[in-house]
Amino acid sequence: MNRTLYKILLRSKNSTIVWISYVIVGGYMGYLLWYLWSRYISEPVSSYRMLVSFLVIWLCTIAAIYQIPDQLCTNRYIKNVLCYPISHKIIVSAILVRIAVIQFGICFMAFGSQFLFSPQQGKDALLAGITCWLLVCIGDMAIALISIIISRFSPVSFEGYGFISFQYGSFLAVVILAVRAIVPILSQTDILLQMREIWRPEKYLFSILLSFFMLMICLGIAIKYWYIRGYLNVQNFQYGSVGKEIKPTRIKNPYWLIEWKRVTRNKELVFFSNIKNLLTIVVLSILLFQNFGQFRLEGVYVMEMLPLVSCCAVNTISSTAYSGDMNRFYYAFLPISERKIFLWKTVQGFFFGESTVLLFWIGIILFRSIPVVDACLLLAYGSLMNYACSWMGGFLDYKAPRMANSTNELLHGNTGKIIVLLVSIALTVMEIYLTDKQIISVSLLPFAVITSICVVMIEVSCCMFGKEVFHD
Amino acid sequence: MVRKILKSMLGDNLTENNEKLAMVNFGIILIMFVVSAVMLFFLPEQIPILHNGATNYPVPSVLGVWLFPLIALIINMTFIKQGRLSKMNSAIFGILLIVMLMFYFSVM
Amino acid sequence: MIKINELTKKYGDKIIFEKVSGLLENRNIYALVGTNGIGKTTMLNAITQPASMDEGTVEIDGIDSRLFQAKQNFFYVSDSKEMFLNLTGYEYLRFVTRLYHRRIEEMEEKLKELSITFKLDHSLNECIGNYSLGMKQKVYLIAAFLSGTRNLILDEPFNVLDPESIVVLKKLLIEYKDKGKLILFSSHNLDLIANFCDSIVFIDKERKIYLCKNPQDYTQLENIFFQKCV
Repeated sequence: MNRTLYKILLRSKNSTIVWISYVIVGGYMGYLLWYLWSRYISEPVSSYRMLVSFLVIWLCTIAAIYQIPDQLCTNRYIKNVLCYPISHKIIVSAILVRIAVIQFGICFMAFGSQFLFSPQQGKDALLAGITCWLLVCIGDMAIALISIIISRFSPVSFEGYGFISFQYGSFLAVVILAVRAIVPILSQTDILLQMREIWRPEKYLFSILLSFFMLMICLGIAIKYWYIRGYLNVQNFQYGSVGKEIKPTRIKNPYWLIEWKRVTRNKELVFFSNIKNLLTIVVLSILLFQNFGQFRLEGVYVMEMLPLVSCCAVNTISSTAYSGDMNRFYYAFLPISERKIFLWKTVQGFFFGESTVLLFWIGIILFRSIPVVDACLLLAYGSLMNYACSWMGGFLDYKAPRMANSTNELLHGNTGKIIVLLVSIALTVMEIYLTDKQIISVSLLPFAVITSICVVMIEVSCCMFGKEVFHD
Repeated sequence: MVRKILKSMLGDNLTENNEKLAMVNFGIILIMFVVSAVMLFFLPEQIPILHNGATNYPVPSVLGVWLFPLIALIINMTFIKQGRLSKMNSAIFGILLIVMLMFYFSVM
Repeated sequence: MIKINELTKKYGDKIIFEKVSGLLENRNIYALVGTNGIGKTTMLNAITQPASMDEGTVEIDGIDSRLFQAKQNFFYVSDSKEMFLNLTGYEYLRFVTRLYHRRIEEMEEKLKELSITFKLDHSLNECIGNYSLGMKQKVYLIAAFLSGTRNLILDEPFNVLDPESIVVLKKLLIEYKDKGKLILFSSHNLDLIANFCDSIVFIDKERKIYLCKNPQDYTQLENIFFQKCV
């Protein structure tokens, strides 16, 4: 029965070949990690075991932050089993156990390879692995508890935003924390030695076990009294505007109307998505700028261009253009041109992305003294890349829309965003490289503007002449 | 047998169209593994798979050659898990294969 | 037996039900009738998912519906046909049997019988997602009969069925009632209701419950409907 329940709640397919693939990949990554450290960090094994613990906890926490609230509270499949005699504890434990098993696999892969490099310290590795996993489980339970509290006690009209704030806020916190910790550790290995002295798993195992059981009891109480009510609140999030009168629109163009209505159905979605994007850029900028020296990406306006491009790339509106559009199933039997609807989806994404670009650009011209011509070129570059990224995001979602399990639209489209981000950053890095090495004898900003014009033209012609692309 | 494996992976999402695409993707990944194995005979003992811009961190080629195919495999699994199987994904794997070949030729 | 005590349900500021009460007894088939959007599905959801109510209580066979044990006493077929799509029909039915603690051997026999009756025996090993709308409804209805619970709550069960399956379902429901069980279903088809059920639960224009015996006459029933609900 448990297998069927997993299948219902998590759409899990339990394919052996998938598990074997993950084991192979995990085993390889674990081995590679230990090989690199044993070869390139001149410290004893026990020191970098500390680093491995840190990385494992970091990786598992990120996974838990994204998975647990999504699967526990916004998962629409739970609703299907609510009127069956399945206790809430079974539903929650099925979800948490599944995540804990995956995390156990990660811990095993990370620490298992140590046996090959230092077999005599196997016992220590085992202890470190178990401690790590217990800490990760404590983290999971804490995340589940916070999710239940958010779903139960925040107002229904705020639920979706509450979750995204929690998920995104903790994601940012974990990333910043990791960057701030990892960079000094890698540059000054004596920190590792100091940390090794402080962090002794055997010393803290009892406290960890105690916190584990305490949290388990708290979670049990929360599940019993708050979970289902909270879950139903989250499911009713979209019905917050029942009975509200909506003014008739003046938009005449049917394509624009359908897209405008889709995006502005939740005005907060647009607002929130932009705040989220700006925060992502801040974190990305911190990460990139910290490593600029090493990547040798130097030149005028590099510091402005990379964050600006990142701003354009992480566009929620375009990356959920199709997967967030429930009407798309009806387009096939209505006289709707796929090319036109794609155009309006791109324009819509561009329009909402432009507000972030403008905000960022105003910030740049306020805090950095830039000549007028360059400021205009920077804006042109930002706007052109914004259109290019909006097109790419929309196109990715058009060609490979994700079947989302979650009812929270703000949680979709992350894969699309990452791909667009990688492509646009790669393009900008290429521009910087070409001008820095003087392979192109034009300065960076005009060259980048010309390149982005070319990219936009290619995209537009693809829309206009690529008959195979759209099924009109 | 391949169809059975795909059926167990894709469940009710398996259609004739994405069955073909999944096969193409797995085919490309298989080619990546085979090419990597063959390239082991031609590559130097150490290949630089990691670098931070300033320094290269070479690893034995026996260990390093599997990085590209395994990354492709994990991307493929992610796509399948998310129910995204399209021509675009196959194109991504094609690009990865070309990048991998270019990398091997550059370090030979 | 289903007892509703002062049930209140709101969506934001909009009140759907306010202090609604009623008693539905065993060995009866009840039809839930009301105009579109009046709250028939909301009422059924409130009975089956007590956490979705704002105030009031529901008792199922004397057990407070907020208690877990109450769930063993009813089976709800909702109006959604998008459930358990990734399971095969057989997997789903087996899952239901285990949840309601039915014996597997007994279930296999009954399942075979019901699937032949509903002409679904050749499709049980396919995913529910691949079924037509009517087939999905049939598999959910088979699950309801397999569960063997004392109260069946069905949201528009006749809606997507073909005429032959409607006859089969009516027959099975009458047999079920004769075993001393309660059936509550929502419908808009007054003709079907007039010829089939014992009592009618109207949700009137004030969103209150009005319970009456079936007059067994279409014209009379139509008059009551227009008087109370429109």
